[in-house]
Amino acid sequence: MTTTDVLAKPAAPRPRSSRVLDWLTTTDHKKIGIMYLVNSFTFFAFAGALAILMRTQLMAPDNTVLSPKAFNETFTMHGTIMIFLVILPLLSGFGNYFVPLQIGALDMAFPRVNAASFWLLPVGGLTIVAGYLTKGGAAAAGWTNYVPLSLQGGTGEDLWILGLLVVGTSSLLGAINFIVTVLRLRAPGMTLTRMPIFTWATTTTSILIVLAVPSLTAALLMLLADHHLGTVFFDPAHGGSVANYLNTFWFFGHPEVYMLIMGAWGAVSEIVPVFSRKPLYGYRFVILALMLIMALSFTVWGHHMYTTGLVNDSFFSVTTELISVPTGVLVLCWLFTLWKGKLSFEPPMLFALGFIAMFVIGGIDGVWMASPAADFTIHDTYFVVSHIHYVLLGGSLFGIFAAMYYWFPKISGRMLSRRLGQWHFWLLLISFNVTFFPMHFLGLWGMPRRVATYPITSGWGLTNFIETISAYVIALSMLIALANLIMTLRKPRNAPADPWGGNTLEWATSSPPPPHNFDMLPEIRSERPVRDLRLAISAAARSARPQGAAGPDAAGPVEAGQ
Amino acid sequence: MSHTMTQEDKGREPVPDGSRPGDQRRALRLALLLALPLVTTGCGLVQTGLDAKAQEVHRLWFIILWLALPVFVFVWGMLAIVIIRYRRRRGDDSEPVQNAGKNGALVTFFAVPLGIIILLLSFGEVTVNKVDHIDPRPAERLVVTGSQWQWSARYAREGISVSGKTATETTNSKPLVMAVPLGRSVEVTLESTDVMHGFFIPGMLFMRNAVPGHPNVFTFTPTRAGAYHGQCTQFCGLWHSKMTLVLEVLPQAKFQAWVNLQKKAQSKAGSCTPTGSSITLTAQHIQWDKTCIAAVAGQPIKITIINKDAGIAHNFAIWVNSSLKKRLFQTGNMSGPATKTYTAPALPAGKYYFQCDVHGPAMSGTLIIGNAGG
Repeated sequence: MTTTDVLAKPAAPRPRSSRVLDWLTTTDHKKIGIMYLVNSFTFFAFAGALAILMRTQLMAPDNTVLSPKAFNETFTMHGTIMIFLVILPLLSGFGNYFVPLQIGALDMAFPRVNAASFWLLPVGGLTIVAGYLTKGGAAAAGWTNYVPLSLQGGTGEDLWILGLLVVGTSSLLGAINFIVTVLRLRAPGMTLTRMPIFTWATTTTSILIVLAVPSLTAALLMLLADHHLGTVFFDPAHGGSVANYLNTFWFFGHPEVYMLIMGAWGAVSEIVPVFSRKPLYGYRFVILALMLIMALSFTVWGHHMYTTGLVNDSFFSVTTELISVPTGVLVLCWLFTLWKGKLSFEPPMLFALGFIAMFVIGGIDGVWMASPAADFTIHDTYFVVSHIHYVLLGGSLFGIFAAMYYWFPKISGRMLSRRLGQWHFWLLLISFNVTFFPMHFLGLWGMPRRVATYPITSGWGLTNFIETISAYVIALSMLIALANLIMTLRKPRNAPADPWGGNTLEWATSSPPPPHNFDMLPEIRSERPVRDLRLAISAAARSARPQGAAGPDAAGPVEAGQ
Repeated sequence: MSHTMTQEDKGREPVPDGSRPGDQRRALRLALLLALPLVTTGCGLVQTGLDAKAQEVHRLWFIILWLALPVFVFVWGMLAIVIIRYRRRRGDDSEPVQNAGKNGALVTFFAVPLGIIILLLSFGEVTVNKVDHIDPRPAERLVVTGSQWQWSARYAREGISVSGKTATETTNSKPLVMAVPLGRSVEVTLESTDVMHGFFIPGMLFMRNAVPGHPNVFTFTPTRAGAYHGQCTQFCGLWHSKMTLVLEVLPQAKFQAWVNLQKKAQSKAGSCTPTGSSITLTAQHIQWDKTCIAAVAGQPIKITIINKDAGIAHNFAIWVNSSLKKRLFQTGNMSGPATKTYTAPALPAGKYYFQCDVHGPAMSGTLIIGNAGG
């Protein structure tokens, strides 16, 4: 598996003194990608700590660890940060690092725009968090920020709106950059139907962002105007309407859900074939499914409003159920990729398999919510809390962890500990399910979401207690992952160019890649160019051995070039 | 889908693996076992409901369960099988058969989920139409109002209103207790005086939002007596978690007794005699200090409002009666702590209804206009 090492020369050493300035001013997509990941994992630690606080408050009935005001701020910040500053930018971080590599490009199309879109992120994030420093406290209207409640907010709410406008701008810039990069900078031979699925998923995510984020921006600007300029977009007493906000927000908000998971689907679609040693089953159908989901995701927003009496429930139930067809196709394609493969259970594969198993639960319990009459029994209850965590934690984050274990050797040049990776996976898998599966029951018993506390007479105490203890185990598993990262980074570089037997171009360069990404590019004749190269080299070696001639160059790598 | 699999298998060389013959069955059993939580979700936990509509929804829950279960068992079963059977052996560097999929199989991938969702949609559509059906001639008409942070209910036919009480820093909340007669059709109009709220009674298997500016109407005919707890499900601010209600389904005679009790309480609270033309009202903990105020007829009324609720806006409004059809006077909103004096126009003698329009019936009472000393 070290055959492709010959393609890569180590990067030239750089002077140490300029390091900080170098990171601050870099336009290298790989460094920007790393900064995306570091920034997002930092926010992840913060939002995770908020989750632990919430679980501690809910551990016992009538608990007073957090006041109702503090609790409302906590879940608002937890949701906002996890969605806008953790999951989406983590996927963008991997996208930044790997999309140019996967298509054989030198960098993103607009490197300086890329740097700008990154630096807007911490600015926006800190603006939102700065609400804690204001007199009235942080925003406390939930990440959905429904009117008229959010219009009762103070400075914290304003900072939340401004911060999200900045974060939305960051996403838009990044998305346009991805689209142009993928359309214009593909290496010779890298046709659209040979593009890795992760790159495809980043592309469809980017299209979603470009089409949906303006709707969020509009909603936020109307909020700001209603708050400060005396407009009445959302004020029913003066001809405005609450429906204005709900429609504008969810027209963004549902495609948002797919922005948060498509990248994870993409990563899993890379990892499952590599660790099964098979091609992705139905490669073109996976792309078709991604595009169908992308298109359909704009037609389903009303299912968030079934209980409001403001939308045609039947229409939105049809579109919502319809979107599960291409999603089902994705799952079937992964399963049939695994079928008769030769599976090795490295940490990336463990997380990818865990992803499929958890995502399917999140998909199935979603069926009840898609059916309006059934939704009337569970909407805005803990059932929904369970569902979104099966999709976003069991789904997106498992996919992100799979990507992390898969690509960490490429980014850092070091192999993460397999043993600690296994601990991370098994602890997380078990504690995640113990924490979030019983929330289905709490929802059916009538426990609403976003309640700061519940009375002892409710009978929800024991279930909540078990969930809280289990949530602490989730935190422990994350600490193990952190320890793994830190310990590995302190070790010398030991990763080969292609530790897993990869298929896609990022494995055709050194770990980590040189600043210019590739010294040589292999010829691209399928969606698995590195496997083609590996086979060609071993065939050449076999046939060459008797004659005692020829090296890997005979396999025909071509000059890298645009 | 197993049909597709066998087609795929045809003509391919068997892949060597270390599995024993029972593996597949064991994996399937394992998946079934893991599906147990899903089954119990449906069986033990979904309430059966207090009316026919709820029972329809209950049935729908099971229909979805039986359609979803095979999907779950298929995916988890297949995962279990591949994990057990297709483990890569140590030192085996050869590739398995490179099957990238056939169009026929992939079209099946689209067709099978499509079939399942057509079934789901049909059952779902039938049920939601029944649930959303509105009885055109209900026996009882209620207006249920959500306010930060209590529910209140007005009974159109009986002319009574009942209300819960919000929690505050120092006091606990009280649920709205609303009774409905067993076996009679009840129409509920949901309104909100401030932000969005969620009316949810798990025993009804039904939820609907109280949306400001958009009243929502639903009807139901309770068929099981009992007390059913519920609470606000749409996050509505500080005391969202304490905005509770109890629906009491009472047999006809008991319901009538309950109505009479409310009427008596209301007339007791609503009797006082005018002594002059000035009134002082204090708002604290989202309650007025008086449920009855009085002023003499034919003179402008001087009303002093003391709002002791820091950061909470109240106003004062006079209505012809609690049906809120005609408003006679309304002050602007004032945020506490504050004191302001307003002058309302002179009114003819009679009984009126007053409330804080921000908080609705939870902050309401009777205004008596009469002759001084009489």
